[in-house]
Amino acid sequence: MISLSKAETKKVYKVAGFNGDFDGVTRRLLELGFSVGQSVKVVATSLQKKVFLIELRGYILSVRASLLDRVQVQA
Amino acid sequence: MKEVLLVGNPNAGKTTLFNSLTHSNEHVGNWHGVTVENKEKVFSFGGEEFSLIDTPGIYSLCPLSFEEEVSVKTIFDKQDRKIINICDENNLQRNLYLSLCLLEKGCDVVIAINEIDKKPIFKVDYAKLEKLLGVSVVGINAEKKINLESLKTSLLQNSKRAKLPYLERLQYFGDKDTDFEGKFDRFMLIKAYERDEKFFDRVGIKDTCKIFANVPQNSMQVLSEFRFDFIDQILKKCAVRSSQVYGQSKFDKILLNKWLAFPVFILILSGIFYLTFFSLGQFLSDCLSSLLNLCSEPILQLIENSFGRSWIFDLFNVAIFGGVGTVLSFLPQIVLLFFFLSILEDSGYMSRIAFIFEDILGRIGLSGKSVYTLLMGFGCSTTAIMTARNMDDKNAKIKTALLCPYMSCSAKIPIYTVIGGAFFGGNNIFCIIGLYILGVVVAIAISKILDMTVLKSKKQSFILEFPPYRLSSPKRVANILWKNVKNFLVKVGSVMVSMNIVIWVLSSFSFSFKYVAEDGGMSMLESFGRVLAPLFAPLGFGNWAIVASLLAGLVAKEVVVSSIAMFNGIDASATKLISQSVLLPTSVIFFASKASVISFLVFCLLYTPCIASISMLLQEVGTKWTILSIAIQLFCAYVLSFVIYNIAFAFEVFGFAKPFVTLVTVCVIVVAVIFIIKKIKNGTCAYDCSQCDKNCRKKK
Repeated sequence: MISLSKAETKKVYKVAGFNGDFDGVTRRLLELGFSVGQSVKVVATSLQKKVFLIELRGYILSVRASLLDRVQVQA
Repeated sequence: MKEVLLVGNPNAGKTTLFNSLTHSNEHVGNWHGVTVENKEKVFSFGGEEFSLIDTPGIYSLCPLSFEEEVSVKTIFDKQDRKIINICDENNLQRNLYLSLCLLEKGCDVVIAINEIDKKPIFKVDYAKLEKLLGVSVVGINAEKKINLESLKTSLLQNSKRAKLPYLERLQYFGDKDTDFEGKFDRFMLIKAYERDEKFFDRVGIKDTCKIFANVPQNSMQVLSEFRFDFIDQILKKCAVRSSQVYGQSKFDKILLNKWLAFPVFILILSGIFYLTFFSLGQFLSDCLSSLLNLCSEPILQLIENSFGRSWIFDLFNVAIFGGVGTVLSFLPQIVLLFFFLSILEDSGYMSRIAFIFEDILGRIGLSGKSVYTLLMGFGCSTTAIMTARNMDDKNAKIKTALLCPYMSCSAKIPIYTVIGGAFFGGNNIFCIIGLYILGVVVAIAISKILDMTVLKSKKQSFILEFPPYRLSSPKRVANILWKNVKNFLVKVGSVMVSMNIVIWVLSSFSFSFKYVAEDGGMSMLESFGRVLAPLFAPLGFGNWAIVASLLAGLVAKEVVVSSIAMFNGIDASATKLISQSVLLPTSVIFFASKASVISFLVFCLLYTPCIASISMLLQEVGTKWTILSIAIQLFCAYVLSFVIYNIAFAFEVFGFAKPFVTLVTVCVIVVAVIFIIKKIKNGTCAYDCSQCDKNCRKKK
């Protein structure tokens, strides 16, 4: 299991769980569709890999890498 | 009158529907967070009047940013109102998530599914969805006004109770009456699962620890999965999904490419500026100028025949046709700039720009989302300041709002074109681009300083949805053009005419109210300007009339040029005449050298914004930060103008080589001193790195 910020680009993973506090930011990630068992894919990253483009539930989302540390995924 | 709330996810089409239902022309865009405050307007249907309230976009009833708080507060404050919940058909799962939140609250909801694209990602059987959810569901196209009658009809129907079976599975392990202080209901339990402290604070329950301890530890996750499972179940029964990914485009391979993204962005922005200030913009401006002269001649002739060459003739000739007419001739350029910015907004490229800039802006305590506010600042600072509300950290919001005035707004276009054009001719484009870049650089430096000192931001939760690329409709283009033409004409007709008359009176009459324009006596404005002028002498423009024009520019920046036209006695709406006049030593306003012109332009770029922007800053960030902002602006404008004037003056006097070598030497010395100080600081650090919580270079 790795955090989503360490995931390889273009590879499909499944959400396995969440790290850290269940605060407002985690709640927002949940509202946007990150849930256990859900497929996710890193489509692209920014130049410094601080922002990720994620394909989730059929739409594209850009998320700061530090927030994706909270999402645990497995291949 | 019945109140109806318009609620939905960001970029679902709420304001488009608001415009269609109320025949309004509110600002829309293909971008998250265009609407940042409630808007209210009335429409009638079936013999009843409805007051429709458009709210900023939300994902749930747990707000994260300031504009989301506005929406959620409205929903809670107006509980008995009907709600139109607009959902984007392309992203139905996530949009229905908000619908469930509203239904759980017991809101009286009509779901309007907006079919934005011809080939939507979901194809929905609305009748089935209505049956499964238990509330009215209507398929509409907000932009093309399709099926809006059905939507209005459903507003007249009685409320329906939704069926949400998953709520039965929520459990509370403690004593409900004690823990919830006698206020328990089903919605409180949902909020306990969401761990929404702001909600409990609002209803007056202070001790949330006990409540949160009596729901599962991962309650947020549990509730979210219940909701999405339920949505998946109902969509399986009533919708067909295509394999398309919403927001993905082949253009992104170039526009988001690590190495091409910035050059492409700069290319697009340069193209916009070139078309606005030169080529097309210049051509249209010249045409309008000629037209205004043609129209003004017979009117002036009539006034001259009636009143002779008296002060009345001067008032119309100099203050109205000379001053205001000149600024009016910039109408095409200003409208063009707003037009291009709107095209950018509609295209879906804004979200991509936010993504590209997140790396850089994150370093100075801002978010990629700040780019939207800052780009809007190129149009109008006043409206841009308000968009800073889409930040979710208070300090980042204040910082973003404070930086807006450094973005060179459209009102400064006449100053750059007329004054810069006089001295730099065809090369003025480099001067203008240089000024825009200088504004951005100063804004970045100030943001960094604020972030290191009084406005340290916590880490921003940058989460942004990517919309698909779309083209603006011809109707929307026409709306943008008309709206900006109207706004500009109203501004010219009200603020600028009155301000020009005031300046004309102050510059034509003495304190004893004697008309001094002809006999060369000292006017009221001249007396006042001469007191302040010595302050500006070190900047290269210690002329009383220039100082007076800068003071007049506090009302609106366009007034700077119109007052220059007045002082120099320009009696036609011709920018070329003003440009020529500032080169003549015999003119009231005359610039002696290129150095003083550059210094003046830098001062105009950076000094206090117009009154409208200041009042918006007061509203958004409060008195303390507004005063600090004005102080920083005046300080930056003065210091930078002084430095730039002296550097440019040295180049003019001593040629290129000597000042260049001196400048490079000074830069090298400054960098060396900073480097040595940092080395010494890190070398003498008294802390044990393993115990120190400071994030210093040594620790890294």
